[in-house]
Amino acid sequence: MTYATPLAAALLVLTGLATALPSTATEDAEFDPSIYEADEFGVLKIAAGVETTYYTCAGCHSERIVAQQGLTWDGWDELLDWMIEEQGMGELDPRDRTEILDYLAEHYNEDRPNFPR
Amino acid sequence: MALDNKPPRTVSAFFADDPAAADKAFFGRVANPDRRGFLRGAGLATMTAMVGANIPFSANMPQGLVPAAFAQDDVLFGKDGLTLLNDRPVNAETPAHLLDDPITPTNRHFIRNNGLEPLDVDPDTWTLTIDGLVDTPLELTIADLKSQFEVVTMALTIECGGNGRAAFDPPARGNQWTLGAVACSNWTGVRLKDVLNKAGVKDGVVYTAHVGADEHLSGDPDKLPISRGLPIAKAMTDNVLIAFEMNGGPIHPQNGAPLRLAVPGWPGSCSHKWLTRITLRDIVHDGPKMTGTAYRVPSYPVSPGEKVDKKDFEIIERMPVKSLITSPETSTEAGRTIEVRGHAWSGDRTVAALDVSIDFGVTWQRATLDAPVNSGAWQDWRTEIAFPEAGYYEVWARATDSAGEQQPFAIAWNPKGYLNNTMHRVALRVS
Repeated sequence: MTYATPLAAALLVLTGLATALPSTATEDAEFDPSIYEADEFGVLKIAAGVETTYYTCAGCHSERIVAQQGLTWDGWDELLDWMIEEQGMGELDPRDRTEILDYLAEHYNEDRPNFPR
Repeated sequence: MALDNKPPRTVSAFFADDPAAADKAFFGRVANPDRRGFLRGAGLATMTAMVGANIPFSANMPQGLVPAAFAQDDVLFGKDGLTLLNDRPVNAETPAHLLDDPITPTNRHFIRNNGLEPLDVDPDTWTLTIDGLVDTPLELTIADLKSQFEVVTMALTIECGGNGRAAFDPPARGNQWTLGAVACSNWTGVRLKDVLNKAGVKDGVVYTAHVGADEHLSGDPDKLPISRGLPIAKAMTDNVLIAFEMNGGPIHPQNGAPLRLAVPGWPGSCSHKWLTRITLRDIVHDGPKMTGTAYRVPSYPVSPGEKVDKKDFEIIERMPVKSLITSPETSTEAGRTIEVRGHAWSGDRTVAALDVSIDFGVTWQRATLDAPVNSGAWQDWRTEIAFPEAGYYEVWARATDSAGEQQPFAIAWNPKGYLNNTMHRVALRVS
């Protein structure tokens, strides 16, 4: 794509940033995958939210069972409820819970973009 | 954020803590006073079976030495060729072509765990309690079982209720088993029926309740990872065993050593591992994974992705008619004429016919089908196939059981991903 003037291109970028800022893009912009080892979180995809997700889940079970699933945001939300209500998991900090659900719904949804096999 | 990340317990850590106890627990091994070898052969047969060969210098083996054949910290210790789905808890399945033997070798039997396996599995001190609605509660050692009841060996088909879940769309929660969460090993033990009769089954008993020694993933000692049961009529059938040997040797630690149930033809979760207690109850057992939607399917057909009310789920009992093609292996080259073979089974029934198609189900060829070696065993089948010309083919196998039920082509989708008995398809390039 080309722009008539450098100013127009700069304006477009600024506009895009401005609209993106109130959403979750802030975290994405800050996320730097290069600070992690490739297998630091086992088989989980390294992306924003992986660290919170890994340490919350892997306290009790392998991250491999996480990576096998393909669930919607609501599906993951229900699964966390089940772990808290029936499996002895502690309540999560609401911000952590949202971060985990966003990560899982992004990378382990029904279209299974990161299915391990 | 929970930072109390508990590292997985490993075999090598257990051996490091107490080599003698670990030797005893894993192999039944007791070393000589010089801490080498095997005192009067104790445990040598087990270790030989697990490494897969005689050990000529066994007299030199130091106490607590984990054979290098078992890679350090390998959770699939003593298994061969299994696909690891999950390492805590351990869940692993066997590729179809490695299930070719009529009797599944110990190192090829799938693993389905709900909790963390117990580390102390000493057969000499293990006890089984029979209680609840019985005339005389019993506490039996494995030696008691052997001496007080008839010991029988049977080939028994055990299949995980979720075998085939990976093909569900939309995906269903849980381990994504493909084909290989099924096996038919020889199990030696005593009939559950005989033990329950000795305790005396009181009037009004509805269900058994099973408890094992494995630990809940949360580490909470008051929580059971799983406790399922059987309707009393099923528990009293002749082919339900309390088993203490697998294929003539010790039960593999991940398969429930030293004592487990073997309940053929019902979801594998009925075959409780590391069995310590059976309680007879006057209600349908309501332990973990008996209630809610666990091991249950809707009582009516549902569309893929449909939400189903919890009250409309019913407990899975027998597993449906199914078959596997164990040779040839899928996605391989084949000649113009080959033998195709495998196994077929149907819970609480026999398989009456096995048909094979090489033209996407348009025509079918009947295979030779053996009778089961005993009630509860799968049936072997084989047939010669002649391909008309070189090219890509799919071999499909379709079993029909003694009630006339046949394997479907499409999955009867259900929310938890159980009972996928669709036909096995093997891809071949014929040259």
